[in-house]
Amino acid sequence: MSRAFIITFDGLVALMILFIAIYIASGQNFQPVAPKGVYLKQLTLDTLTVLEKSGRIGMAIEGNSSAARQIMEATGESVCMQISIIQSTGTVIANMKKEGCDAFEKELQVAARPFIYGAESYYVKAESWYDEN
Amino acid sequence: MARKGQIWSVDMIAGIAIITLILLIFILLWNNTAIRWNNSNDYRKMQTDAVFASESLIGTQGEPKSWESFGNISTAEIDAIGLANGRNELNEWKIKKLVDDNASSYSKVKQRLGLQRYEFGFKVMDLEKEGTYYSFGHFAGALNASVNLDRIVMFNGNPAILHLEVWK
Repeated sequence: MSRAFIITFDGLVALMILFIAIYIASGQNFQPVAPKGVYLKQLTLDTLTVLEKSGRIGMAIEGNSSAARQIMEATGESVCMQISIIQSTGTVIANMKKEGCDAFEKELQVAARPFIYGAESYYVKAESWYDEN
Repeated sequence: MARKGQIWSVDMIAGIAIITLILLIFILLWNNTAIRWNNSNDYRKMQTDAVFASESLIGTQGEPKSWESFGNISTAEIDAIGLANGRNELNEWKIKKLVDDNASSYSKVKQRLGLQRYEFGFKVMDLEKEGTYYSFGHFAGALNASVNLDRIVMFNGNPAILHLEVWK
């Protein structure tokens, strides 16, 4: 019978598994996304509110979307945004996407509100996401 | 004849040395993981507090609503600080009052925004962030970990940015 020893082969395997698990856990990037998501939502709502209060939605409906784009461009480098103005009939009147933004990333925030301009009802939708490229 | 028993055999010493080494590695890894986790939680808490503070500033008038008419912001009669007339519409008088009392009321303003654990500062800037209309509080140097938030607001009838920086 072999002599007893504190470290057996079973013990070594178990310790190895434990160390690998801790090593993997310690290497993780602990960056929870929840507060960033809340901020992105607030920023999306801010944009809609300011677009409405500054009269820039009306200007975009009339065909001049540069003023609305200026507000979208002010949302920070890491934020992407797309704003659509849709008539009550479903016709898209304007569709603006922030420069340099491509496809939606993992986290998408959407906000919308009705808007009346010239006795016509519209629906303004803002979609935003973080540019992870 | 059996050999005499001995507490400190070579096997025993080697075993204790190996166990000590394993425990040491385990404690170091665990400690590193715990520190990273705590730092991450602290940063997350700071982000959440910064979002709530920015929301108080641009989404509320404060409590009482005309707090800017008080002589001293540090008075106990002021429960909350807000800079808005309406949603996302900044009131210049409220900002001016804060800026004028920056030196004497900074700590109280921090408390009322729920930022007592941190330092903070905010600026009201133009959309291009090239010009600053008003600035309040203290801003972090490059060495400090900070949370930076930009909120889009209306200021004197024009779109502007409220830039908030929270740091430790």
